[in-house]
This record gives sequence, structure tokens and C-alpha cells, in this order.
Amino acid sequence: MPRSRVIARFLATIVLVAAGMAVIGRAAGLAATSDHIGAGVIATPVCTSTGVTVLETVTTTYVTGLTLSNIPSACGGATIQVTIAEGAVSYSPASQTVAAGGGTVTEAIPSGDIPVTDQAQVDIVMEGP
Amino acid sequence: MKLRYGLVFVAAALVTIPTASAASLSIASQHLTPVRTCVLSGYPSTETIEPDSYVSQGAAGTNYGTQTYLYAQTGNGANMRPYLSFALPTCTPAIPSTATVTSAVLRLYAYTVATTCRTYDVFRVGVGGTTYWPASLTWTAAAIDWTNQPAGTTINNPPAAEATASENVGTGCTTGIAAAGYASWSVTSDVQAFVNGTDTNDGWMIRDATEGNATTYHTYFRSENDNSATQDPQLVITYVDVP
Repeated sequence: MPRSRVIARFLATIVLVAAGMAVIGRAAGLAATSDHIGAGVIATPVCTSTGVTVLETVTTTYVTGLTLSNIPSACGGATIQVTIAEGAVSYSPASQTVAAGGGTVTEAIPSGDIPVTDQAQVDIVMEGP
Repeated sequence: MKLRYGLVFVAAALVTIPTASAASLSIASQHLTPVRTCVLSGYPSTETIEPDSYVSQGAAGTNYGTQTYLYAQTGNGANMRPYLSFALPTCTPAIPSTATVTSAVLRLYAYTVATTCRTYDVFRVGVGGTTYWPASLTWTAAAIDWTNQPAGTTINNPPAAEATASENVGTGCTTGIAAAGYASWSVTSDVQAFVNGTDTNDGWMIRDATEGNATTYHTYFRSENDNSATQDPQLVITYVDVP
């Protein structure tokens, strides 16, 4: 076979292979840029969908603590952040880490910061594990 | 020549593998668990947030809406039943109707417990339809008495099987409370129905699981009129509202 033919075949093969791979590459890119991802809703996983029991410790006029119990073991190791609000006043104790087996977390509230009212809002966010 | 062709294919394949992997891209996230709790309390005393009273078989026409206690009693012709409710819209921010209530606990402080262990059942006012409750379910702390109470005057009715929850209170109880303290009933399904609007919030009635007992037994619970931050009735609602 003449050398020029060999070169021509070789180049033709490269062109074919490159074209083929380009198609594959384009298909691969489509999945990441098409509306397939944008159209979907991915739920953020949670460590528990059951209740965490929240009880206040109060004096005659102030909330002095929170007890968060029934935290399941699946939330063990999570960082827990709590905010309590009564009326216009709120307080956020420092975050804590839930024990490996779950259980109970207690939060101290400085007396005088949160007065007792008819309704209190306690927001809890557990991040992780 | 064949070797060259082979090398070309291998090289081309290697170049495209990373791009092809992007098609199977997966999104992973650590857990992020938000929980919100609304604590409703009878303190400071406001009837609009937590109306309560009790009714007495022995004084059928008497209203006890201003008393500082809720009397629960079994006895021969001397039964007494507390009624109470909480205004859920008081929660700020409001609990969305789409929320999933993961826990709701009704708490009453028993400051004098029965001298023997008694079981107290809590009933959602309105459940059971016309079988156990009249068509009109409204009641007020200032007007309710034994004769006009939503549950009717037949003792042990509604039956215990209709109760939302039970709690043991009294001396000798091995579960529940045996001395002064908060008694708790899980009323999650009831509050879920109130939040979702599938049932009207007419509160709860509490009675001894066995009314008409030959020996009289009673427990005193604190009412909202007691105006005590540490002992007033509470409803603790925990919920989530995420897609």
C-alpha cells in the first residue's frame, strides 16, 4: 500500500473516531445542562421526621432553659442550633453536638433574657450527621 | 499500523471518560433537619388563649370557669370533667395548614393527685360525630356546666376506646405521675386535624377512665386562672413545614 494511502486512511480514522467521541461527549454534557435536572426536586434529607419534644424550664417570670428530648440516634453527631423567641425577644444559645445515641439536649437561657408569655416559638435546626 | 489504530482508540476513549461521567452526576447532602415548636401556655392568664373549666355532676347547673383548678373526679353521682382548649392561631408565626405536626403534648399540672393510681382519658371534643357529641360543639369557659357540656351527661361516655390518649395520675402509679407534677397526653393527631382544617378545634375533655366509681377519687389540675408560669396548662406543638 502506498504511503500516501496509509496516511490518508490514518487521518480518516482519526476524524471518524473524533466525530464519534464528540457525539458521546455531547450526550454526556446534555444530562448536566438540560432541563432534566432543573425540572426535578430533590428533598433535603433529614435525620428524623418524628417529633422532638421541647419543654421549657421557667421561673415565675422567665424562661431559664430548654430541654429537647426524644432525639433519635439517627441524629447523633448532628450540630444542633436552637433559637427561642417570646414576643419580640429572642435568644440563641451556643450550638451543641447531639450525643452519638441521640437522647436529650439541654440549653441554658440566661434568666432575664426571655420573659414568659402566652406563646413561645422554638426553632431547632440539626445539621448532619 | 494496527497498533497505531489501537492507540488512537484507547486515547480517544480516555479523553471522553471524564466527560461521560458527568452524565451520572449525583447530588448528595448531609442531613438538615429543621423543627419548629410553638408552646402555648395559660400564663399570663387570658381566656382567649386557653379557656378552661370543669363540670360537676353533683352541681349540674354550676359553672366553674373562674376557678383556679380543674377538678377531675370519679364517684357515685359525683363525677367531674375538665374542659380546655388552646387558640392555635396564637402561635407566631402561624402554623401553616400544610405543616406536619410531629408532636403535640397537652400538659396539665396535677398539684393534688388521686390517693390511688387513676387513669385519665383525654377526648377530642367533636370526635365521634352524632354518636357521642351533639351537633353543636361550641362551649365557653364562662357557660359550660354538666347539663350543657358537649359530651352529654351519660357517664363513661364517650367510651374509653374513643380517647385520644391516657395518663396515669395518683399515688402508686408506676407510669405517669405518682406525685405532684405535669401530666402529659399526646394529642398529635388531634392537633394535626386542627391545623389541616379537617376538624374544628373545640378542645378536649378529660375524665376518669372509670366514672361512677363507688369510692370517690379526684385529682386537682391547675387551670389558667391560677396564673402560674410554672404550673399553668400548656400545649407544646412541634411541626415541620418543608416540601
